[in-house]
Amino acid sequence: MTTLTLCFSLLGPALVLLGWKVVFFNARRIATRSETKSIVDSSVKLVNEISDLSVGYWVGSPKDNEDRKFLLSVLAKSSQLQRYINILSKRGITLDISLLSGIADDATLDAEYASTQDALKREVKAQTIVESCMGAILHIYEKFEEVYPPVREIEMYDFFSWYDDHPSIPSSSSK
Amino acid sequence: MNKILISKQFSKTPFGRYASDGPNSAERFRKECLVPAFLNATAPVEVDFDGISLAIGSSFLEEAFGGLVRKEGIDKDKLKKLLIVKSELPFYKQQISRFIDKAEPDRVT
Repeated sequence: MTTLTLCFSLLGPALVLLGWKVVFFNARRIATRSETKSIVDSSVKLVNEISDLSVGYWVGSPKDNEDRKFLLSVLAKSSQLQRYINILSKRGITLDISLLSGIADDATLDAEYASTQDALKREVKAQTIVESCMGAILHIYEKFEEVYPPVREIEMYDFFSWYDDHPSIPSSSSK
Repeated sequence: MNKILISKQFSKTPFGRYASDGPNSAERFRKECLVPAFLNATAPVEVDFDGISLAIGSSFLEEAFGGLVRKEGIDKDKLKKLLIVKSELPFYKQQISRFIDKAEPDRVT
């Protein structure tokens, strides 16, 4: 009787500790996810900025003295993006660095001679840069979702439609 | 091992592909720094990008390193084997490697 009383008296604090641990780890994971997501968003913003800058430069009519300014802006943003990629890597999200070097290649290769190229060639170049940037953004989100998979809430409709799709389980209407 | 510290031995602001683009062009860098280091090299050559004030454009990298294969006739495999790229930004290494892979020696007619 005394042992049983002792067990019951310990069960309460044990459950409280267990509950606290669950809440603590869950809160920590949510906080880490939120921090990582903000770094991912900053990286995506940078890729978008590189895309916008490049399209503006290549599709517009680049002047002779604009190339340095353009190169400096794109490469400064690329360096910044590299720092974010390093931070993400420490948080378990390893991105393919060739995507970044691909963007830098597409955006800045022969940018010094943009003013001497014809409009069609420059438009093709702009399209290539946009595609590289979109590929990079998709890759960043995919890698993020590998580490923090999105939570999809199951709605009652989905649950019952799944139930109806499995004829081996006797449905309520067959009774 | 031979070391080339670009900011000290060449310029802190490398820019442009050809000599006509500016005083610190890739063409000059290739001829003055890379060719003497790689032409008869048997030991690895480290090219250090630290201390450069201006980020380096793709055209510069292509002309300097791709140009070693295209214009100077240095063997692609030998170059890849001996070249060590040191930089805070790993994408330079990727770019250089890609430019060397894509480069083909110019045919002399």
